[in-house]
Amino acid sequence: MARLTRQDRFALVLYVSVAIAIGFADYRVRPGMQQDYGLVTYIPGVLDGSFGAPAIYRVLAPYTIDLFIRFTGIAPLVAFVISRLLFIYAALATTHVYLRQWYSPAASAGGTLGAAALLPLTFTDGWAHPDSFPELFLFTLGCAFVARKRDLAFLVVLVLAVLNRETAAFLALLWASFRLSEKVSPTTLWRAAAFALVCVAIYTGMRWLRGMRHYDYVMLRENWANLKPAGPGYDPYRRVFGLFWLILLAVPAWLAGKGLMASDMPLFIRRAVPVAGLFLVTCWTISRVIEARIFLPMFPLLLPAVLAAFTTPRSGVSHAAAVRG
Amino acid sequence: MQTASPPPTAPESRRRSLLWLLPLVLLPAFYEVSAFRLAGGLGFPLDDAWIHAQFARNLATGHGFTYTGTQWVAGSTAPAWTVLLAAGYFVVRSALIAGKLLGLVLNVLTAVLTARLVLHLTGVRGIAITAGLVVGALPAMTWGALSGMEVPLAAALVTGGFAVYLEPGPHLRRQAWALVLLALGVLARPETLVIFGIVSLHLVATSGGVRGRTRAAGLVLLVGLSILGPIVAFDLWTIGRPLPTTFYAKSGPGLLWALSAGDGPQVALLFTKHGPNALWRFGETMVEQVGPLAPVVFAGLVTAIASPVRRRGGALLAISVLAAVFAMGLVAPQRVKPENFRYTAQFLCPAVALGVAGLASWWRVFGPRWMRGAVLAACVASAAYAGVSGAPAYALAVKNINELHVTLGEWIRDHLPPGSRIAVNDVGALAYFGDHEVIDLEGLVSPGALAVDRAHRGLGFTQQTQPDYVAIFPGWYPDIAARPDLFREVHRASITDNLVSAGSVIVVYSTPWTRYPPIPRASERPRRRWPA
Repeated sequence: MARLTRQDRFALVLYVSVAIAIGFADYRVRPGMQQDYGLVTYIPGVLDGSFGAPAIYRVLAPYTIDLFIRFTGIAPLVAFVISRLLFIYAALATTHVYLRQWYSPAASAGGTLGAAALLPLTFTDGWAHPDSFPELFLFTLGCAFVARKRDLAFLVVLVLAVLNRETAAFLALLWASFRLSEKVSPTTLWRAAAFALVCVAIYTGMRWLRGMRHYDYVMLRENWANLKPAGPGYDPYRRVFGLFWLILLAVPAWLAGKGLMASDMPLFIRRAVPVAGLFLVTCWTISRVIEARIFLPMFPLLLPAVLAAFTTPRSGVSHAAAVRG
Repeated sequence: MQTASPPPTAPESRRRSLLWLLPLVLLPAFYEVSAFRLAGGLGFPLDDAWIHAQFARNLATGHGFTYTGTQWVAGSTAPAWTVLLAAGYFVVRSALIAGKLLGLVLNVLTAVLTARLVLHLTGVRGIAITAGLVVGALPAMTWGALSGMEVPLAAALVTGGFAVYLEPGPHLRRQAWALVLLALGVLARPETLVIFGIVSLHLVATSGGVRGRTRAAGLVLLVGLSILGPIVAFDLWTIGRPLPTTFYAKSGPGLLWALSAGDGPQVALLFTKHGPNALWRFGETMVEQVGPLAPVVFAGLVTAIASPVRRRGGALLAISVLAAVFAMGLVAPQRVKPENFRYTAQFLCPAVALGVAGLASWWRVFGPRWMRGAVLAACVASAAYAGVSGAPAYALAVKNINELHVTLGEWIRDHLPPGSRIAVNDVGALAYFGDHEVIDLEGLVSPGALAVDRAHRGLGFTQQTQPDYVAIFPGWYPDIAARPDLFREVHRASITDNLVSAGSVIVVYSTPWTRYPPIPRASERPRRRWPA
């Protein structure tokens, strides 16, 4: 990846405003009485284990935000909003740096701003989930380290990401899909197994530490039912929240498919798209797709291929030549 | 110097391909073991299967298409299955064994035909085999294979019809065979008529020139009249109506009823609400059937329509299935729901096949061979998981039918005097095992019941027919159950874990016309575990 240029620094400054805009929309789009639900109910519930599964196993964000509030001494709601803004900014900046692995500063900024524009489609919950933006930040960072083959840094990010949300285990799958496609060697096999073991250890360890509690594991029927518009008592957007995931992903997925047709496509990008497909299938099976925030990891998985649809010239010049040019 | 091993010969390749279908035998075996452990014996998961068995036994033993007594009656919605089951009974002398063996063979055949269809659509052998396995492992197909019902026959005929129609080859013979298969599919499940119609239209429309179209139309007429004509004639001869009694008994407030009653608002409602709702419920059924594979299948359906698969016949498949399901919503709106998968299995198979075929559009994305293999293996594993998860419901259904219907049928055989006539409202096992003449209050095999309106049918039809006994679910005929002065309870059978039966209790009543009292002790005939 090239060193940060002036345009990169301009973009990083621009993302401050973008992060505030997203944070503002994120806060104000929730119903008034639930704007602080994450702070006054969710975080204390996770900390004392009363909120219920699977929230009590996703400890990173609640503990981090709680520490931030105690450490800074700022009023809790203000500190909560600031922490959220910090995570949003971190996610945007990380996305830009991630895309710079293959694209120019302008293309990377375009991709990051495009992703930022789609983020409001993930604000379908009645209250702001503390783990959403940390998830986007950590998953993107993990993808960046996979692409750059920084395995030690990746391991640290993987641990943090899985402590935030279990579906970050797909980072381990991405690592295996990418590195084993390059070269199957004892080293890569051992590392793939180790990363998988880390995910399993955190998953089972959290359940052992906090007590095993069951919840609805298979959500297929509910997800199908939510595709139907809700009743007329809801506002027009709320009625089609069950389709927001489709609106969020359909065009990017199509663009990613178009982008993959370019020749010379880097192996990482080619491997990330099938992992995104598998992620989608998993979410559909075990999560509530009406909560479109669960698809945030699709952003870093699809974005590089999506951008390839814009930067690949029509004459069929190879992708590498196009991004250099 | 190493030399490459020679490629497999065609017979070796076919044998290897057939090995892939072994799981389709293991899954039904798992279902049967589950049922045996829970129910203490083998059986069918629905009483309707015993209706087919009764018709088949009578046909195989020289009594013609009768159900009870000597009267021929068009009481089977699936005459093709009834005839096939009769042939099976003729060979093995057991409707249970014949039904299950035929079902298994047809299920495997459906999987093979699915693979053949998908191979034509995609050209990718791995995807084709996966599609065959996924379809064969559907809970609806596994259940159907063991149910003693027409499910796998209808699926095989519809899938086979599409496979033959869409493949390249000598035109006229291929088209004729496809139409024959689809027409036979109508005799297995009447909903297939829509698919037969659409494929016929497609055939005529795509035949070049006036001469070609005329020839195609002639072929459609010839096949339709020669296969469907005799059945319509049989219906008219036996019950005086063009369709079997089951249609008139079970179709509910559908399009034909609304048109005959001149109910315009109902017609509009059927098109604007019930038809689209049927499509929605069909989607729900697919989600239930394919389980975790649902997003893959739906994504595959979308990409299949948008890709070269469309030009190879994917569009025709999709339109046929959607139109047939929509038509079901018009004709029998209450039928399309996830638990009624036996009515839509012949549509599920091509729909799921098309969904899996859509993977071909993404084949380039799954670069190395191991990744493609992993994707296909995951699809098969998901399908197997969905298939296995249907076993408990199957086992409980067999238990329900055995403990309630079969047990009561055997009680009737052992305790009611020969010559007694019994009015029933679930006419399958009670007739098959009861060995008595039955009067069907629901009208399936006693068409005269349909002339009495539903609310008064219990008392009204029994007064007309004057049976010696009545065996009913009391909740279905409160006009009988509420008259202890006329109908006295002599026996009841009940279950506590009812899943599939129309009620948890069947009560046997004596009537004012009872000629012979019940026999107090069971006869000396041994209880059969393997009924013939």
